[in-house]
Amino acid sequence: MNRIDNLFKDRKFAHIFYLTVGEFPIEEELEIIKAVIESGGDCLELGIPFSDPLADGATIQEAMQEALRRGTSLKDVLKLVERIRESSDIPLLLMGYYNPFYQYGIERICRDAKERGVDGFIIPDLPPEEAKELMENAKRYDLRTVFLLAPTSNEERYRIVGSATTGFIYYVSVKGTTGEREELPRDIEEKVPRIKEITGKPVVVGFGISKREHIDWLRRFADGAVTGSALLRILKEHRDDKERMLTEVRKFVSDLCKDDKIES
Amino acid sequence: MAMKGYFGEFGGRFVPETLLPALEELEEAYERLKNSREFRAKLDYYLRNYAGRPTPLYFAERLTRELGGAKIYLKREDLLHTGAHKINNAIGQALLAMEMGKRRIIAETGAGQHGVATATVCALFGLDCVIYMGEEDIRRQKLNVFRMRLLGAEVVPVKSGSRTLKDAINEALRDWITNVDTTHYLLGSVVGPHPYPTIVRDFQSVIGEETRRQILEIEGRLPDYLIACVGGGSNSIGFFHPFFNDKEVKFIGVEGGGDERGHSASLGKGRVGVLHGSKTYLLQDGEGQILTTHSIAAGLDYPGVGPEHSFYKEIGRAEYVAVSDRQALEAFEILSRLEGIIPALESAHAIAYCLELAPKCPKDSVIIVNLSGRGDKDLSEIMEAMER
Repeated sequence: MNRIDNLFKDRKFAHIFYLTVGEFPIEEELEIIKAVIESGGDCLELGIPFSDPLADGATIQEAMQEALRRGTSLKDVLKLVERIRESSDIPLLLMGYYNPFYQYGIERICRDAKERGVDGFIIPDLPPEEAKELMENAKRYDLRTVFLLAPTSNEERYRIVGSATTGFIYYVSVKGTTGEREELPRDIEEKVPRIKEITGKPVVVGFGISKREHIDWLRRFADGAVTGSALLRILKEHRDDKERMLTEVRKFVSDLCKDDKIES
Repeated sequence: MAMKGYFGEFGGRFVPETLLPALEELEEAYERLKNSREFRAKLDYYLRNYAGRPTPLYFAERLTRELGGAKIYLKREDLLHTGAHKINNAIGQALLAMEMGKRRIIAETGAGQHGVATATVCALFGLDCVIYMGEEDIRRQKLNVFRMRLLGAEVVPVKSGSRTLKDAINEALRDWITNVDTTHYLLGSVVGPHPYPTIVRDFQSVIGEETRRQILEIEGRLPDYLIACVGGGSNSIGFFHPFFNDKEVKFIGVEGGGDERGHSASLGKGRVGVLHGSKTYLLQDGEGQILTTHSIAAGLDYPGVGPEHSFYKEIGRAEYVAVSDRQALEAFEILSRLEGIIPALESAHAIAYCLELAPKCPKDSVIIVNLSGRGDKDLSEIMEAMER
């Protein structure tokens, strides 16, 4: 069984949160993750730090540099997964650039990831055309491969990505890199339903999502939303005061996730 | 499965989905235009009348006599407008961008040569120009920064990562992801996602095509060796590629051997990985993180290399060697004194290897070195290095 399969059960809206692994010591990271889960997070994307994160804006770039400065590797990420699994069954996705996975070995990462309790991968610089090896091995180990669509994608891309993706489609809301935004492009409202219609897959929206209003709007037509940079900013702002940091994380996450059942 | 955009197992298109349509559009436009008589004529016009092609193939008589072996010829790309081969590709891609209706150009630069070439063609064609350059490189190459600004380009300092060329490419890609509808990314080397390695190679192949004609005319035969420096690898691929089927012509690519601070010999000492959209040899640690490189020649100071070079290495078509900063500096002085030609530090790497090879060759053999750029840009750096 794969935990992602339950994520969209009963047409529930999935609140997904992204964290760059290794920005904080592992014990602190576990507390942050616990706070996210207890405040309503449905799924976690664990970001693998990379030296050249070309799809990321300043917030995630800085988090990755800090994680690398602390010597974080893919092995450390797997260790974290193991620890999370001691107390939680939340769906977990590894999100990162291709080279660290490629160097680790694609078959080996699929095997090790499955063993530790990972449910799938999101690799933003690996379009389906380049992902044959990953897709074969992920299938073999019952892991999901989430591919992305963007505002520049046409309907032919919807079909290609739709048939390659397993679990869900990650729709990139804006032309641009990751990072908080005041407003989201209005055309998401037409694009997401069209993608769902063509692909028949759940569609989760990410990039720029940082506010309650965003979630309220997206919930009307999307299957979930990913929040990353906004959460990382809170961690950074309060990094010297852990208790305050955890309080703010709880406040932020529960504000984004509250009233879910009433509205849906 | 069709391996589109691959050279053997190298190359590909490892980019975020947002960029795929732009790469498709670029590929489609290029395929349509590359054989169009009108486009070729326009390109040829600017290469001749603006850039100064064809460049001479010069017999380096004193250098040949001094070394006492093979006859040495220099392909004089240093004589081109803006002082290096980079202008060949900049003109080609600017024409391509205009055909696609894109009037905003972005580019990365390390030493500043590609930035200057791009700023130059943007001034020539009246295009908006933004150049990304690492903060560290801006400090080292003040003169080129001034040049670009004089030409009307906006130079954006890159403060992320190691603040050098690879980070400038990351930042240019981020700009492109954001402004892809209006913007053409004028990539300066044979790196990046398909179709860039092919497009840049084709625009630089004019170097090898001319050389082939010229040496046949002068010597009545093909050369024994072609030697060129390799950073990303655009001057060398453009030089080598037209000789690919001439099996008797040996290719030697010279990488930056650096000093105790490090090197930039991706092909010599790297492992296969994925960076900036293609699968190729890279300098990286055991975890797949990209390493910081060092070369006295800023144009060689890059942890990756064009995928076609990785392919040439794999099939044994080219041999890749490295020479140190110090050897390059010696070669720089020797060429200046013996031939009255001050080479770019990048090109001095190719000369340095020629100094080793030529004495071991019979007198009737022929070596051609691609002198990819002139050394004016390096003078302050060299004054500093000589004082050390």
